Amino acid sequence: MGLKFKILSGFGILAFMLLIAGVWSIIELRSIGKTVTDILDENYKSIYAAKSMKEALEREDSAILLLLLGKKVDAVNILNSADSLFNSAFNTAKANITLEGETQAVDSISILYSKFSSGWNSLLNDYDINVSDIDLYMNDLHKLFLSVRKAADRLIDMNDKEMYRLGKETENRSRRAIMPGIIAIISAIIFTLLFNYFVNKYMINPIIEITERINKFTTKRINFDYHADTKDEISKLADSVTILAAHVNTDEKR
Amino acid sequence: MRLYVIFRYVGFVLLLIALFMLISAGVSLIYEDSGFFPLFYSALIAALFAVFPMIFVPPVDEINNNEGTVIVVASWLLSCIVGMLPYILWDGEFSITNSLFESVSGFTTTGASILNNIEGIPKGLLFWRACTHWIGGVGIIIFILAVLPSMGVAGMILYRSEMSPAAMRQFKMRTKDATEVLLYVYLGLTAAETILLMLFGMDWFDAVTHSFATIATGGFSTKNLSVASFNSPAIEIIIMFFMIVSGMNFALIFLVITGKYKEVSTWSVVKYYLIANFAAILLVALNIWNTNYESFIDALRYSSFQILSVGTSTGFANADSSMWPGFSQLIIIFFTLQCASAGSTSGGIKIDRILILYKAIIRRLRILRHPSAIIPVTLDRLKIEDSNVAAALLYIIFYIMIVFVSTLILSLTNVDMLSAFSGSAAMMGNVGPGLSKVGSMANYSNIPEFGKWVFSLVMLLGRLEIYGLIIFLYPKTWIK
Repeated sequence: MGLKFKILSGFGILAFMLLIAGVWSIIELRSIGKTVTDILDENYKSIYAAKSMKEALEREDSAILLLLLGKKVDAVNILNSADSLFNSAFNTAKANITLEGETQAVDSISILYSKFSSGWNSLLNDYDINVSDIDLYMNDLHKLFLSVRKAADRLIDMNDKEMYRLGKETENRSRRAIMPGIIAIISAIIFTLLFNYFVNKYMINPIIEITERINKFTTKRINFDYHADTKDEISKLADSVTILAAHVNTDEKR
Repeated sequence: MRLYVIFRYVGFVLLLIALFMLISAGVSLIYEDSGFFPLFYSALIAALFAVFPMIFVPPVDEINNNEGTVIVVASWLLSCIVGMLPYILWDGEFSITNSLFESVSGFTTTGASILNNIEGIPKGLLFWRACTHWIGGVGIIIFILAVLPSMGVAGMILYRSEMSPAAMRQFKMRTKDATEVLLYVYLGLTAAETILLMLFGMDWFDAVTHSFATIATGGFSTKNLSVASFNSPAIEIIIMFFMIVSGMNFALIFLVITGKYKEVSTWSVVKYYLIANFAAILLVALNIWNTNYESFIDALRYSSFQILSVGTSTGFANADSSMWPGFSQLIIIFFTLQCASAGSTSGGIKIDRILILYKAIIRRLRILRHPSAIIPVTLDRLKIEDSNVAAALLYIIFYIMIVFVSTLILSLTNVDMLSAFSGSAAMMGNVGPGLSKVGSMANYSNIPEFGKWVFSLVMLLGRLEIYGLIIFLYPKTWIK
């Protein structure tokens, strides 16, 4: 193999090592980016929707108490706005089902909320409602309110756990993205030392030796005798110089 | 010391490692697991480091003994270092220390693991773990010598440097023939066990990995509960049979295969190996019967598997021997130190040296009775030179000394004494499981980081039969 190939192979291998490490790091970083997007898209949206549902529920619960206190107009306004907030949040959560068991959690919110809303709707239609109906609220509506809120909490909890899991996975992936780079750097350093050793051993040292022997030949007429281990340009150079020295010797003898 | 020659020969070893990593990456592709990139990237790095010296260094036919030793030890060390790359890159439970421990444990066929959840590891990586056993079992250099065309004198020097001195007596053939015999027997046994395990219900992946681990007397399983997870007496019997066979000298197995039974019957090592193991199985079975197991059949089943597993330095488990009575545990400790025959894939002091020790004691007693008598030490009617007897005895003392020092160091890191001692003996003998916290159903994850480094060194000392590594680390070796 020629010197050109040897030198090129050295640099080529070095470049290849770094290229592979780079490509892998890019793949891992892209995957980290995707995981972060997934966390935001899939889990955080659901958590935000569930919190909105809880807020709407709290407002509805307060509105029912206002209704019992006889402030029907205020109660109706609050109930209507809270109901629309709940429905909008619920639709977001329903459109964002990504986890195992999330469908059941959303369905259970839907069923419990429809019971709760029909409960306060019937109260709205009752013209004789007053504070003496507090038992009806405590035994029926408030319990339903607590059940819907618990179901919303379950949805938050599920998504929270998934967010934590994905966060951990991202942490592991970031470590994995760094590792190929570290290994590539260490390998490249070792490889450079190895390359340097071989260049010295098979290129620089022979050239130095050939030069020294040429000098000895020219100054002291010591026979030029050098055999390279390799079959490359160095050995060809040594052979050529040997022939040249032989010719010079022959010419001088004449 | 011609460094470039070392680089060239170690390159062959790295190429072999890269090949097996690529095969493991293929397994990852089949199972579509996360082990592909770590294995593929590691294979590329190993291959690039392997090929580069071959481009520069022209073939060298002759190497000296010193260079031979350095090539062999460097090959083992580099294999362990390169072998840890897939683990580090995959991450999970694999820190740098854990990766090195797992890699050294694999190549030295120790089979001790730091993994708490083996079944959570990608199949490609599990296959690579099994491959490290299989490559290390027969000896990395022997593998290379058998696969590559004749290396002339260099091959002979490398063969001598790799082969256990205690095994040289039985391999009275040309280097090329001996390496071929070793490889044929190795391949044949692996194929036979794989087929039998598949016939008795294992899937191909478990069958191949468990065969690799059995024939190499390694012990890495793909299951958290080792062989116990299969709960199959048939599978246990197959593995036991191949553990016994793998603990025998491979030259002897070759003689049996080629029909030369008469020669085999004279080998006292084989007689001792079989009698000692069967006697121990019976004694332990009687000891654990009624104390740990109600039925004698169960006691026999667990004692035979555990004794053979330790006695051949394999390290598989079908029961937790840490729960057994002290008598049984002491027998296990004895077999952890002794292990099986030289010329096999097992570790430990080896039966050949134990027999020489026994014969030397007998000779000493005779000389005491007849002071002027000249009594040689003989084994199978062959006289053993006094220098060889001294070498064997010195090896045993050195071996025990290292186990003691390792125990001492581990005790300093707050590891309890039984775990430290049994662990050290198991590391030195390349057995795998010890007792107490490093017992057959436990692992080495709780050993402190420093302890894992000490254990890694002890595993290498045991696999390289002590002197190789010491010569490698001796500065004058490099100056010559």
